[in-house]
Amino acid sequence: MDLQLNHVGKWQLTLVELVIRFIFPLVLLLVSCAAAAVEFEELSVTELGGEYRLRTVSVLDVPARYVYYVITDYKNIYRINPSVIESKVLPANRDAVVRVQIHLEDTVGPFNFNVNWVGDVEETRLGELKVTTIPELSSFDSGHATWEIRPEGERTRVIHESIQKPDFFIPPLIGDYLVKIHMRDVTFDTFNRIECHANIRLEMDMENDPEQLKVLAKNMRNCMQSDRFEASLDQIIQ
Amino acid sequence: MPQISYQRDVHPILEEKCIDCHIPPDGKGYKKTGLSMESYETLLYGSVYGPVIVPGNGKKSPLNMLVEGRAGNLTAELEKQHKPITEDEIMILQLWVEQGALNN
Repeated sequence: MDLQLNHVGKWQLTLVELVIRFIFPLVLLLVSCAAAAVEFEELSVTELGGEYRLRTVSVLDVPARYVYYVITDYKNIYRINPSVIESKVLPANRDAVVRVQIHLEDTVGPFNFNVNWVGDVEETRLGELKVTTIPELSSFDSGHATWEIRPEGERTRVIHESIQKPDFFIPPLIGDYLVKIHMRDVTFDTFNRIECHANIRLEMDMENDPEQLKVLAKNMRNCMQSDRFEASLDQIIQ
Repeated sequence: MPQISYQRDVHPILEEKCIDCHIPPDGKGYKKTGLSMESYETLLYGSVYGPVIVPGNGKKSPLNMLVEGRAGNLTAELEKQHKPITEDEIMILQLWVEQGALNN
């Protein structure tokens, strides 16, 4: 790139340079921010004795009722996790419990996993979900998780903890490492999808024009593009 | 089966048993859940976590689950804080929701 001297002897940028050096990076930054507005205060994955523990504290830029809707939309979990092949609600023992079955296929490095999970979801307090894995129906020896969905004005704080012990073979060292990295990436991706779908639900609630509603429904597909949030994850890692 | 009226049958129950807490801006239940029962519209809008009435489906309607004792810990919490609701009142709320939760 050339810098030119102006008539008073100071260096000046050409228009092309200005665009390349300042405006283009600014636009890229703005686009990536718009694609992922979830704020992660914590996102950690640890492994001990074969148990994988995930903890995340995040703030989503959308009201709680829409976040709650997306998280409890058990039949459409594929929308927030593209590895999910099928999810359905099974008959449960009690009214207060929703029994959910999920089948997912995932590739972690060189390893392919075909995972079945069945668990009971119970709302223990308003906005708090307790999830208990049913080992005899799942590819897990044990597991439990909690979700706290707390309204913060027009935003939502979500605290999620999960401890799961797979009963399928994960090669030690490299396998554990890859699984932890993968869980972190998937979690980051999932929360951004939750926010994206919740925002569309919010827009649909505010929209009365049937044609615009069709456009919004189509926009749901944009929330499912797998490369949508990668740039932002890279920013967080750095 | 009798036709249930929101104004005649449902609102008086809510007024007696629920509205003290579920009224903005200072009602304890409103502050905690965002659920205002001061009008049909706010009741249908629901809480900060979504609708509490599923018109036509009393089985899946959270309000019905709560008052009928089908919501586990949430029902227990409700029972601690609220005036007891009678079997007749439970039936009225159930029929109203099953009949489409109309503003009639």
